[in-house]
Amino acid sequence: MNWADILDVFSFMSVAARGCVAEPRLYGPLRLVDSMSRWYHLLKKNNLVTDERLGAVIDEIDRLKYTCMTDEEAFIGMLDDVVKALVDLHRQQE
Amino acid sequence: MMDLIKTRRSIRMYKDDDVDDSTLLELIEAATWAPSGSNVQPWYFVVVKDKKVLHQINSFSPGMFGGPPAVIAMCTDRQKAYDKAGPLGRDELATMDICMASQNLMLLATEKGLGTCPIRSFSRTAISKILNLPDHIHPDLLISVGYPAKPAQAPKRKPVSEVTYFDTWGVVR
Repeated sequence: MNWADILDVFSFMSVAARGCVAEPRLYGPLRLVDSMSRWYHLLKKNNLVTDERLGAVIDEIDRLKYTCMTDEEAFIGMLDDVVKALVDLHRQQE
Repeated sequence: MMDLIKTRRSIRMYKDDDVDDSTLLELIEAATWAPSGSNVQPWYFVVVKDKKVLHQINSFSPGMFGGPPAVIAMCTDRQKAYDKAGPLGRDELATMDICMASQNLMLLATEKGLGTCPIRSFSRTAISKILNLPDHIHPDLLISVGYPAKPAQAPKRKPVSEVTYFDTWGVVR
């Protein structure tokens, strides 16, 4: 895995953590799911994840994460849907 | 003017197309025509188009999305604001000034078919270091600039009647 790519994600997460001290409440969950997306895309780039079902979950995050700023209900709904989808993936794994 | 105001959206997905320097300088000229407390004009602008620098900024700006081809760091000279307008100038007016300048810039960008997004979710420490800002120069906002990859939906607005009173609080017409 490329060192610079890892550094990018670490930098993002550290600044996000610092920002969450004072930023709007919903930015915390936004940064968390955005971190999921960034890790997923990094793992995918390095062929360390190939599951399309997980890719579909991340696509939904990327599609709806900006609703954090415009539609709180839709954003929280997306967070719930992500959790449910991940439960399904766990079940399918067992 | 009202159409322009309503058309401006925060854009979080950009095309790769370059925005030429002369256009960016026009946007900055619009910014410099904003009002400022005590006419301090505390603003400075750092235009970033170098891909390496953009990448560094992106790494330390969780609020920046969509790969803009240019970013304008909207900065204020807090010492200058203090010298002319005291603590009020430094702590409040300079912030208001750069916000009004930012809106001018974003409206002209909209008129030119450009998209923008004002970003405060960044590390001031990191951005100051990346841009080599002197200690007295304060990075207040980053504005991403580029051609929108897709149109953005306008969030709902509260009706004017819900946010307006006449003469004293609570009196409606």
